[in-house]
Amino acid sequence: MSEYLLEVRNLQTRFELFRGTVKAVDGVDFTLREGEILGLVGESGGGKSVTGFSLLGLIDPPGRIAAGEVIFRGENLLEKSEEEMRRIRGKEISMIFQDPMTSLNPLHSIGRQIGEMLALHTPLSPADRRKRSIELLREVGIPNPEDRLENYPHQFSGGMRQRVVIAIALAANPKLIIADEPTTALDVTVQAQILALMENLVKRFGSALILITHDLAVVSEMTHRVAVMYCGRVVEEGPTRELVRHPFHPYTKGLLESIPRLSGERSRRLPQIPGMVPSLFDLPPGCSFAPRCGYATDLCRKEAPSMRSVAPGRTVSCHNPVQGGEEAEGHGR
Amino acid sequence: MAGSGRNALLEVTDLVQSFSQPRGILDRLAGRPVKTVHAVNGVSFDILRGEVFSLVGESGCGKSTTARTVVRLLEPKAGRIVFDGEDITAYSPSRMMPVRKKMQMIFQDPYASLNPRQRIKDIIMEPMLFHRTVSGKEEAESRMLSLLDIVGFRPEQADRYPHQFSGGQRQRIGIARALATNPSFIVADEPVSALDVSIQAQVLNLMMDLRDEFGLSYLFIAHDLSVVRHVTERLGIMYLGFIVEKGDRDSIFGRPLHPYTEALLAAAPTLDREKAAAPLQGDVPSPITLPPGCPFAGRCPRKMEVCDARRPSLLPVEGRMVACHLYGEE
Repeated sequence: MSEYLLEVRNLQTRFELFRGTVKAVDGVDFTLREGEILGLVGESGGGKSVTGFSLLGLIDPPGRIAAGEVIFRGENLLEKSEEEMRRIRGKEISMIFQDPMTSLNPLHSIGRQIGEMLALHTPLSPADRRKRSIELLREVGIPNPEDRLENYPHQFSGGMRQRVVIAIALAANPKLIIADEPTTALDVTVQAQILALMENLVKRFGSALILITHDLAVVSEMTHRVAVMYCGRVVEEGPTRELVRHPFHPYTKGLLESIPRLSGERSRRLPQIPGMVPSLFDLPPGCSFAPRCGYATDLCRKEAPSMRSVAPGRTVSCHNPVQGGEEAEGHGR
Repeated sequence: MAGSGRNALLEVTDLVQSFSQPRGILDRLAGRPVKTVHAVNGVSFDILRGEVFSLVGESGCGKSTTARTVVRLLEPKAGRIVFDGEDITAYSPSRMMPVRKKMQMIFQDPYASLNPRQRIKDIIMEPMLFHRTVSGKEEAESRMLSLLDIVGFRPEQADRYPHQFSGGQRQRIGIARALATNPSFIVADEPVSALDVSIQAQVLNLMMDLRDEFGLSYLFIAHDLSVVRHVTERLGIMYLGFIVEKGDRDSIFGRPLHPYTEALLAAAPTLDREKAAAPLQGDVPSPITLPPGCPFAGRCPRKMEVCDARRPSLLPVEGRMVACHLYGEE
């Protein structure tokens, strides 16, 4: 078996629509080791959520995975049948979604929903399942878990609901968890609780985590490595600390600079990335970021760059990476 | 610290807002009492001309309700609202009309706040024609075109419908509409929280440019502390319908005094820090039964005995106002 838990190679997910083909994920590569936390960041339309769904084979027509490999523990998930995938989802790989209100069934008690996961993926008896459910709820920090088992989702607050979702995701002790904007719907103090909880549990259970989010600050506090996505491609990848301090891709640099800071110098105007994300129906030729890029040359407008290594552990897809990984502005040590 | 001597555009004193929760049929049959949600519990602040004042807090803290009450979209239950020298607290809808054109709103969701069946030009001209701030259709057209130009659109885009624009563009259309009646005061309720970061910077920069150009005052409602730090001069931090700390930006962000402000700042994710501090435990309590003491006592890491017994009042401490028993009093 390889050194990686997960290897994604040249993943391509397309949506065939009346107006044309949307290449939502267009040749994405990344790897993940056991116990590692990877951040998948980018703005809306970058393809980060579709990448997450593609890993689990959760793409419905008109979408389809057109090419690529998703090698999980040595096996290509894209070659598995739906029946085989169903055994993997939840047991080996589980997913946490943004909105805990819609990912829980409002008609079933949470005890029943955790129990269902355990019944599907573990050999536990009903009595043991109950015991394990209580343990899991305690694990995710829900007070009085014995009494709470009989409660329904609406009887929990948003933060508590997301804890229940995490308990369900952890129930079968998966090797990999994919969390798609898990704290975006929550308040900051609750977000901090949930992120700390997830980080803790991932460490204790030894699972790997893919954190999909638009929030670079969350990524920078929580992940080991980051892949930045733009228009369906990974434009830059590397260890989180280094990437945040010294971005190579002009898009990463622009994103980092446009976030207002909580401390330090405060500039009159925020540096902004001009223009907006192009329509996926109508991508510019060459590099998709070229029309918004201050470093773009004629080459960028003609030919799409490919991923290359620029420093140990750092890859970037850019013809003119920011020289030597420039310090992002207003962002000293 | 408040005072008309400082040429305040808006003065809000002891504002109270509450709502009765509708009872279901079972509650009525069982004769259960009507529950009251205490959304805003005696909030005071003022906004100077040309100033940005922010109300910050988590969902349910009453910041949006305060804003909506201030512009009289909701009837205040108690308190006083003085706008531009006029006490508008008890103004009837018809007396509010001339005041309204001077106070406009920008909303959070640019998808819900624009009528999908109206063209952009009609969206922007409607408030001018309604409030008769223009002499007629012709003047409205030319003013609409100049507003579109100010917020960065080309004239030929005026005939399009909202769905033809992205979220950030729609928010700029919402801003143009707010400017249509030439207001002096704008309430911006989470104006950038639905936008991507790169677009967020564009909209914030535009709002600040407009402030300089037209001498606008903003009441800025937000939960994102880094955005607030960027735009605001002064701010109030709200919790459970109370302002717990109020003062200028540099003193509050430089050295937060109230334990809740401290926790809020510690919880906000940032790029500059390795790890967040230990997060605050628990959830915000229900605004139906307010705790008798400090509203934050239940979650406060520095709680004392007095905190459960007596509600602290907002007192001046180190150049700002703080409502906490740790400071001041006796």
